[in-house]
Amino acid sequence: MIRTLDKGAIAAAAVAGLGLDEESSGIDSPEALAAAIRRAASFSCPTTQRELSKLVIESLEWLVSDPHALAGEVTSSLEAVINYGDLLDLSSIGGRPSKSSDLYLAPPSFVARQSGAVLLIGIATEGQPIVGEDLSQRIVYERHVRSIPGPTGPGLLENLADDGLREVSIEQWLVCPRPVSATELVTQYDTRLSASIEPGPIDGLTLLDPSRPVTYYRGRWRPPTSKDEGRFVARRPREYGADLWCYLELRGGIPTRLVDLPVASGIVRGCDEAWRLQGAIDAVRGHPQTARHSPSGANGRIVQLTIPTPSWLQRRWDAVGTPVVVPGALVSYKFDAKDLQEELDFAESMLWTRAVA
Amino acid sequence: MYTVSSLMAFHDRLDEHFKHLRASRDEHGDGKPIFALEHGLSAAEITELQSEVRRVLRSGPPPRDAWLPVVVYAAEVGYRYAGDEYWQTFEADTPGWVDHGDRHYVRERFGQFAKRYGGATPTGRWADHFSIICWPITHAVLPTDLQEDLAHLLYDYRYQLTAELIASPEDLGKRLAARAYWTSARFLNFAQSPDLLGQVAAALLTGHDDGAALLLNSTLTRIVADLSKERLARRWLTEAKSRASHIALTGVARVDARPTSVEDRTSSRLGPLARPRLSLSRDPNHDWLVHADLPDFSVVPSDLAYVHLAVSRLRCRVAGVGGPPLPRGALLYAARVTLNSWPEPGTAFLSLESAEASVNAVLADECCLEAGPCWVFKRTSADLAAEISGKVVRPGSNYVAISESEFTGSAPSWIKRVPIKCAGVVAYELDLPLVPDHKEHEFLRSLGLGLRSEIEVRPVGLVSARWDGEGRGEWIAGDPVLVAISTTRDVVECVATLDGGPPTRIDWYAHPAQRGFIDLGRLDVGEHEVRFSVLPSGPDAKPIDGLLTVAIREPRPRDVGGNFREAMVIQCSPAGPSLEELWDGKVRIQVIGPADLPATVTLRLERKQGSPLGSYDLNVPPLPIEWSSWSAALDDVRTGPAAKIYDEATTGVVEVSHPELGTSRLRCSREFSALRWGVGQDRDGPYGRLYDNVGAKDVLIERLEFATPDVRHSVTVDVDSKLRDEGGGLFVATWREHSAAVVVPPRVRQLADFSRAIAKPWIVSGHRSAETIGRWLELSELWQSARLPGNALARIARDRVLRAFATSICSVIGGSGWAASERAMTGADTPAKERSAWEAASQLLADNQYQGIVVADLKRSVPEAALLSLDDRIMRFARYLKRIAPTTRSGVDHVWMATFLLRLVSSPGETGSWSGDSCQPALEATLANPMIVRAARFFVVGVHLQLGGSAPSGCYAGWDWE
Repeated sequence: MIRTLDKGAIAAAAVAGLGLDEESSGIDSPEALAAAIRRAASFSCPTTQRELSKLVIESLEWLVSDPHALAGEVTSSLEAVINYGDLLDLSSIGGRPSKSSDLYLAPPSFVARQSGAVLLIGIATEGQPIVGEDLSQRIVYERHVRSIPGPTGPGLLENLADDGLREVSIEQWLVCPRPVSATELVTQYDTRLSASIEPGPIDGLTLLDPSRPVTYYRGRWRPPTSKDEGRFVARRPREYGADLWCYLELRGGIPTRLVDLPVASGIVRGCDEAWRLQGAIDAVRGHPQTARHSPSGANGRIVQLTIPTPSWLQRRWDAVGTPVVVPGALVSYKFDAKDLQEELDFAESMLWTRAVA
Repeated sequence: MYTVSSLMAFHDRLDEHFKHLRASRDEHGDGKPIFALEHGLSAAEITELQSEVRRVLRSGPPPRDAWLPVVVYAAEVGYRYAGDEYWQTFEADTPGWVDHGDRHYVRERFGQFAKRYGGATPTGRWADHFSIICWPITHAVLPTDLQEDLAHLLYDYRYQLTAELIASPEDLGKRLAARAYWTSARFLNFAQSPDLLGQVAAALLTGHDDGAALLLNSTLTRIVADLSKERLARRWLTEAKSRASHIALTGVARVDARPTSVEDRTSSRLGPLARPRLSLSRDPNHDWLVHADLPDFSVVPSDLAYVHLAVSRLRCRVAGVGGPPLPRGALLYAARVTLNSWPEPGTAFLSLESAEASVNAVLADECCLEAGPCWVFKRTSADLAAEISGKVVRPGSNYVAISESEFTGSAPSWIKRVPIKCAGVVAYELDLPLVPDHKEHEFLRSLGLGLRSEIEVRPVGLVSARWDGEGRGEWIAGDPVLVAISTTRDVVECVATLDGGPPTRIDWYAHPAQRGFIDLGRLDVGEHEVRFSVLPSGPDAKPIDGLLTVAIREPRPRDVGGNFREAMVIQCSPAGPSLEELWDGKVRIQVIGPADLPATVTLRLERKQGSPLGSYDLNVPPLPIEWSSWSAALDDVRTGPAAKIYDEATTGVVEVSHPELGTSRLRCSREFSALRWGVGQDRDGPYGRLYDNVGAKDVLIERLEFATPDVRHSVTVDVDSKLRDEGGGLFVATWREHSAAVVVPPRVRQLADFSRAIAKPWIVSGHRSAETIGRWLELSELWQSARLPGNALARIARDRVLRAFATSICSVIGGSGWAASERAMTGADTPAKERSAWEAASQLLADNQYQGIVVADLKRSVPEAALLSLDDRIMRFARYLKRIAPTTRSGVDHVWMATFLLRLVSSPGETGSWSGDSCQPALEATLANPMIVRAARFFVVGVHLQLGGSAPSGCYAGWDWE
């Protein structure tokens, strides 16, 4: 049977089809975008970030209120979904070196928090729900985060396991790099860079200019010039897929040494290492990143960062706080006031941020 | 409480009960059969009945008159037995049965039950093979160890359930049976009766059976209660039932205008989804490459189960794809291949090696490319393009067209020839202008391409499972199909029809663009057509038509081995291996995953699902784990403590885990075979023990010694005894067309025993004829396919036997001079002597001077060939074969003949089954031209020596045939 609908009704049907409540989430809400990304990935992985974004944009551009803003929103949402752990950004699967990194579905899993709440992670193939019908109704969606709020009744963890979800310990999910000083971290990368060989000219190189203000991340990116001397976090294009992150040395704007990121083994994203390294470089230069915090409601505090969050920090804050939208801010989370100081301290120890009230 | 004290009283009561049940089922259940398990007795009464039956059978033969209690007793044994063979359980539970019982009595009485009460009659291949135990097992309805499989199946299928399916047990059974391939071997037997499967499934889903139309309520309650004892099964059933209740409340049903019936789906057609989907990508040199996404055979109609089985077990060749065939089972996980050349017209796109003609005929008919001569691909990015099945293009868009011949005539300037790496076709990039003129329009038409200019249809809101960019998409059953229609013209009216149904007027919106939106709801599985007609404004405007093809399919079954969309996947060839294949190293397993990540791999042996006997860590390198690493790690486990519990195990689970990549599992259940050998060892040495599932009294048992592996000795013993011999050997049990063989290691107490164990096998010489070679191939196959225990001595002795057959075959075919070379190579006791004998053999290869030149080349090529893959090595030898014998056998290509020869001389035990009907003529060709066998043998031994002369698996290093 054919039903003719208006744009609003078809958008509401799509939201419901994504498993969300059409009364509380619009088609361009962060929750719907994250769900649309998960659904598209369930049919198209392994795929590149670019292809996945395109698929989602094409499905939504005729329904959202601001089609021009959609691409940026999908890109940010996709980053959040990857960092959260729903998608794995990998290359060299099966022992064959790859010219690009591809996204793969992370297996359906759950993380039990001390509060009793459970975070749901991963994507089932072909748009299938990752939990059974009774549990699906209990899922709370907040931006890219799916959780079943606590306190949980007896049997919840067993039911999740019975649905085929694997339990991931909170420690394992929140595993993060070893804390070091900013100077120590920069020295580690400098040592690697000094041991590297000359890469030759690289077309399409862009770098993060440490001399530009730390408060405007996007404005710090620029192509190299002949005046550039020193070491920079940068990105270089590759044949397929997203640009590669790297740390390089320039002489007269020409790369003389280069290390591709990540340097750590295991499942680590290049951007995670790059953002942390940039935080360290900024701190060593005396212009650390800022963690601006402000009150929100009676017991809430919102923290805004001026640099994208590495996945290990996003996961921690997904577990402790709630992602929120603050216009103009790159990353914003809302915390209970009692948690604020601990999280500011953590950000300072790992990214050398300076707290600003 | 009503009590009975004699078997006759039980009989009378049951007779009365089953008569009533028959009448009730005739009235409410459309004449459906009844089952012995529907006896209506309470738990206490069952216990009492069992005691009474045991009491009678302990002291005498089964009763002639009071037979119903024995039928119920046998069904009860069938209901609860798990793991062990049926008769072992029956005999263990029934003292005196061995002395007084008669297995045929059981069959006869069940037959009587079927006749008198309209009881279920087992059918299908399984029932033909297991003509006795099929009765009590069928009448057990759903034995306890199959309950978890059914609950799991219902859980996986819950989102595809509809009100109609639940109301139609036959259809439900067919759907479930088509998805049951991952379940245990015993469940697959159960699923061979889809009516019964559907009957039980529908009863479980609805949770009640008013009027006992499908199953007696007390029986249903009992099954649900037993099933609920296992937490996981309970959870799965609860979820599935919850979904069924939801469907009953909301009436989710097929709502399409042209319902595709289950019969359509289960007819002998694989449906539109069997078509391979083509796409293009550009390589770094900017050459286009052609890829084909092969059809997914994980779900096939139940009457095409044989195709599924063949796809799981046989390697697949894809027309236009060079190199080795795809691994067995590759068509079960959405494989993608790259075409080196365009398939010849009339050539089957897919064909399975050594498959029956009927299987390849289905593949040839159903899995074919779109008709040519031109194929068009819409560019989704600079380097990617997807095939448009409707062959339509749109102004202002970019395409790649490939054609079997060059475009002729005056091509428009926006058509540009571009390089493509696929022989037999040429490629053009088409960058269509916004307004093609009449000539351009005509040119497109001459290529067979339609121009769709003013109407665009696409999925909206929800990404579809697949979309070709122009009008054909796939959706998963249960997902709403949301679609938008757009045009650049002002619109007066838009109407749409679904599957030829009545037209629906579509609300049209002019702002912000000319668009309409429709919801097609949840369509049934199958292909649907939505036709649009848009009437633009303007005095002379003509309606613009559009077509959307909606293919609805079921989701792929849950694959616990991982899915290609995930980062860690277990792949095995053949797919769905049995426990025996896993244990005997007859399955190739590899784990795909991110390089250098360490994964934990364990092998767990279970007596039944979830009841572990032992768990063993496998010592494997980091990901990806290749077959060779897996094989070595499994050998360590096979020869260790696991060997002692293997015979008790019914299931083996390989589990690969990584903290972030998750866990992938491969579950292998024991084959439910007529005859099976177990191997053990006690204080008297190794023994073999036969498990007999057919209940035959006339099983023939023979022994073949390692020293004389072609001579059969009849063994006259009780089939249930432990069979042993100091010298070990091959034990073969045969009953009708069923046979099972096992290699029993020799007993070794002192060094002299060891020497005897590895005595040189002696094969009686035979006439130089295809019959003699054929007989040796059969014997080799018997030794090769026999169960091999985890005992190093058994393997050594078995491999020596197989090598002896290869030597004899080559000696007889190669001629007397060559036989001396064979003896020299076999008799060499050091690698140096063996190499020297091989060098000397090269002098005896050629029959003339020309062949001598080729042989010299062949000899020189051995060091390099040893480094090649097996398939590349075959291609290398095929080139030499073509030089030696250009017309070896008319109609047979040299690659096939090269493969045959190399298999014959390196692994004769697999050659007969691999070559099938072609074996006999190929053998005759070798007898006519023995030089080709000598050359193959020389090549095989040369590579073997080059690789060190030690084969980790197989007889000759480098010749490990899959």
